[in-house]
Amino acid sequence: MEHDQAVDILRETELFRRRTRSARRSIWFPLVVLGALAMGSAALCSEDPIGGTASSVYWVVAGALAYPTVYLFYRRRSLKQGLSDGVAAFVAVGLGLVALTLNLVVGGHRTGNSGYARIIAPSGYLSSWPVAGAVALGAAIEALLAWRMGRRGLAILVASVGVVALLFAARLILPEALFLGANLLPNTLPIVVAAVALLVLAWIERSPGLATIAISLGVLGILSGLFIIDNRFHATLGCGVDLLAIGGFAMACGLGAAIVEWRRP
Amino acid sequence: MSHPAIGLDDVVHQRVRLGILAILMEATRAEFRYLRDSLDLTDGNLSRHLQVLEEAGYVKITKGFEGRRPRTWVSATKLGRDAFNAEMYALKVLVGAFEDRAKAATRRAVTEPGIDI
Repeated sequence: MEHDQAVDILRETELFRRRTRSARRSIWFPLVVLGALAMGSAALCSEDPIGGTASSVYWVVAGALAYPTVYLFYRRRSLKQGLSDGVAAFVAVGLGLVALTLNLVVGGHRTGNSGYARIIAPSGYLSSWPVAGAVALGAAIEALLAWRMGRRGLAILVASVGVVALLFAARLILPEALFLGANLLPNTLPIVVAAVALLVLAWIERSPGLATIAISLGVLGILSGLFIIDNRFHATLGCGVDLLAIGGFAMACGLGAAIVEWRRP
Repeated sequence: MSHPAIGLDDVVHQRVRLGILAILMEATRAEFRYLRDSLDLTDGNLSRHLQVLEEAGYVKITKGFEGRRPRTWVSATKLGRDAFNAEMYALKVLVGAFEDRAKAATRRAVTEPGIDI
């Protein structure tokens, strides 16, 4: 075999990989869905750090509907296109987070605390250990399957979600003093949680663009929701306006991605 | 000294089969018609290459129906992914070896004029 022939084969192989990646990648739909849900939640905005049960219930119901919808979108797309990817892992992580939240909302309703606030409030861990344990177990199985399929990166990512869930269950995350606790308003925390699921999707899709958008959404969610006096971002945007702005950002990114994908040959 | 091409796998070291595995490295599974259209092959030609890969244990072929339409999905096995990665590595080593030889020959030509490269 000659040098030029080997170089040609390497180049051709990389071209096939790039074309397949590009044909398979689609990130617009989950972003538009998240944007619409965030904007829809603006009406339920609450300034009370331990309130916002309506908002939590809204996000649990929305999440339980949105993740299967996203899955159906990808499934329909894969049948039409003839290419499929491991998007089920994204849906599994998303639904795991919804299940974790559901338990916290129910627990929060009993004790009068907000569900989403209790996700990061140390007092909320103990009551959620069965669900957190189930999420950890699900993540461990998913990570094992991903590892056996040769997708080491995804396996590590899913396993780390499992470890976090396990830590939630075991009340081992951080000393209470270091923790954000209930200072993060429940309104934007669901966006931070959704951003974690989007990061898993970015990994599956090998999309640096989606990873950047997911991290931006997470940072925006924390900045606008962190209820401490030094946080000027929280004070600048009023309750509900921040959700409209973040939702609008996700929607704009989704529509931008849709235009790019439709123009693709 | 052994030839650098000695590490290449005969099953994978074929342009079409390498192309099939390259596509399958980027997707959990690909449908027969996607592979056929992407690689610009006929049905029969693709089937033969898939058979070779399947016999080597590099791909798994699943046939079924979606509604009333028959579908054939192809996915790479762990063995197939490993073989593809090994092939890519061997090709890169080969290219590197060629380039090292070319550089050495150029150096000799500069330091020892009169030597034919």
